[in-house]
Amino acid sequence: MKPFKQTHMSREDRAFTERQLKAAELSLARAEQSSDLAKDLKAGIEVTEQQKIAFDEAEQFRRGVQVSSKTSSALSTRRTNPFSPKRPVSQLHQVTDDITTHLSEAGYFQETADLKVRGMVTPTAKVREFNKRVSETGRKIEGLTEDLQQTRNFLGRYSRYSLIEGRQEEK
Amino acid sequence: MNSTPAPRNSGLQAIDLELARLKMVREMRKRFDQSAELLALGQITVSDALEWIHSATAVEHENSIQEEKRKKESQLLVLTKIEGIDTLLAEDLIDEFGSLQAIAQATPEELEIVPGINKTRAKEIVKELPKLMGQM
Repeated sequence: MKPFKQTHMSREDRAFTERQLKAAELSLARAEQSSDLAKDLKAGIEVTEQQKIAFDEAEQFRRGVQVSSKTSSALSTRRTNPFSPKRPVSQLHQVTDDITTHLSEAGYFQETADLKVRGMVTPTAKVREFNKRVSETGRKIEGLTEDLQQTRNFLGRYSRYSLIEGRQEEK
Repeated sequence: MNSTPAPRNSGLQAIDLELARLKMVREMRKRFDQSAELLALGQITVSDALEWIHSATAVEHENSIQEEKRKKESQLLVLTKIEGIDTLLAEDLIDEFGSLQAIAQATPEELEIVPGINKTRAKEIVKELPKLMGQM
């Protein structure tokens, strides 16, 4: 067993750990918010994609009708598909970058706090609280990292839009 | 020993704090929904939306820090009314036991675990803290 002094967190170390954890928690809260925004954008992209497909089908069908009936009407006007997921895909790329940044910051602060509190025993309640917050933050980072990977996979399916549009932000 | 009684309406203060927190959560949700909507409409940029959402998160984070600080200060205020307990020792006691209730339930021997708490101070805490907590 380590002597008391080696397992006791000094006031300075407690203040240091508190700052690291607070910073981790703030970065994590920001990553969570951005992750929620990413979910909204993903849902929007899927809806727009469905509308785009439906429009293409409608256009194809109407042109088929026009050819078979050989009538000249409003059907003959070819319309451009107004539905495009380009913009939300570009937005999702930027939100993904934001999540990556905040998760990386959160991980950095959480790890520092973890290193500081590791092996410490006293003050009992504070060390217990720190350990709880360190593991809670770690769990959340893990969960959000999985979500982030899913978002990247999702973006992979829409890469044709990213390549055309690039990742310029639309003003 | 300082005999100023502790505030008696701590329960009501806790309710006020919880209501303020819920209000803030609702505000943040509203702000988030507005940002997401404006972003979907292309009326704001991603950077603007994120900045708006994140600034609300920072405000909420700061509020929760202040709330914790107030809670801790009120605990310290009670403990520093005990003879021989200064703010630093009071903070060490809270960090060791976690709450005023836990300190009040501790034996003098358990209290002596905290560096700076000797037999006399431990006895004083055991004697005085329940009385002070009764005034809350």
